[in-house]
Amino acid sequence: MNTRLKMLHEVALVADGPAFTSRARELGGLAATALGEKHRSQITGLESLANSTLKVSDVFDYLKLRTARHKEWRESELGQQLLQYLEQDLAQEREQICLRLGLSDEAPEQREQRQEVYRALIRAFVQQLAAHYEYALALPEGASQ
Amino acid sequence: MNLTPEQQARTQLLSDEALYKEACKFIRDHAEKQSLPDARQFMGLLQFSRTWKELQEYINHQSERDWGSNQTCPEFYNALCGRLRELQARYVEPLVSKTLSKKERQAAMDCWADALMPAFIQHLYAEGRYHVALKEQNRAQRRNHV
Repeated sequence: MNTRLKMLHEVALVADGPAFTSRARELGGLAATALGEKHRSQITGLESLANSTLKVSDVFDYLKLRTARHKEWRESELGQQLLQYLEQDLAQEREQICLRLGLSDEAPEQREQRQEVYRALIRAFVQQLAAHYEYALALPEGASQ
Repeated sequence: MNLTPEQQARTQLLSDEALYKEACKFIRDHAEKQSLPDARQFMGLLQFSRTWKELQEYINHQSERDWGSNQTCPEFYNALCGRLRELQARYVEPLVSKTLSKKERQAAMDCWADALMPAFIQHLYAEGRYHVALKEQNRAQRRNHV
């Protein structure tokens, strides 16, 4: 298996793990409660940015600005919690994956691959969060999420 | 002079690995010292950061402006001016070949700075707005408790 395939395989394993999926469910549910249907575009905007950007910091900047501009993101702590998870927990997951794949932060090519692992983790998380958000919105009010 | 796709990838990596952290640290240091300007100042910075030259002119103008009794803004802009010079020396200068003529070297540095400095300001803007908004929310919550 070449390095890129190994990277995607490792990311897929993490994204299928219980800690990752349960956090995506929690934050997707929190997003549904805080933003409702009215602010759906903010979640689709996040998903589309995560899918298209070449920089993980673009995603962090997007979340900070949503949190600064919209009280729904701040008061529910959706913005703070999501930022913390992506910036800290997923950064640790990235380190573990890179350690397993032997990707150091010294060689320029490997640094780009490390960045790609991080981008893929964030993309997978946002994708799951968006799915849980939509699902939670579709459930009748008060139904278990 | 334009950056090649490989050079653009390098700026993206630098933005993620170094400039983002530098911007967050700069804002957090100022937040600790209670010396963050309000949201309007961050919007101004973002607006005038399309090129390195424009950004330098704007920050120089802001740091030399008469702010009256406001000590926060001149301190912030002076510190930012110093930090941008450090970033230039740490991240931009090493990217440019020393074998170029003085004029070519300057043109190459301006080209890299045009790509990197707006990225730094974008991170600074987001972190600054985030901090200011959370601070205002905390203040409002404390007021409501009293």
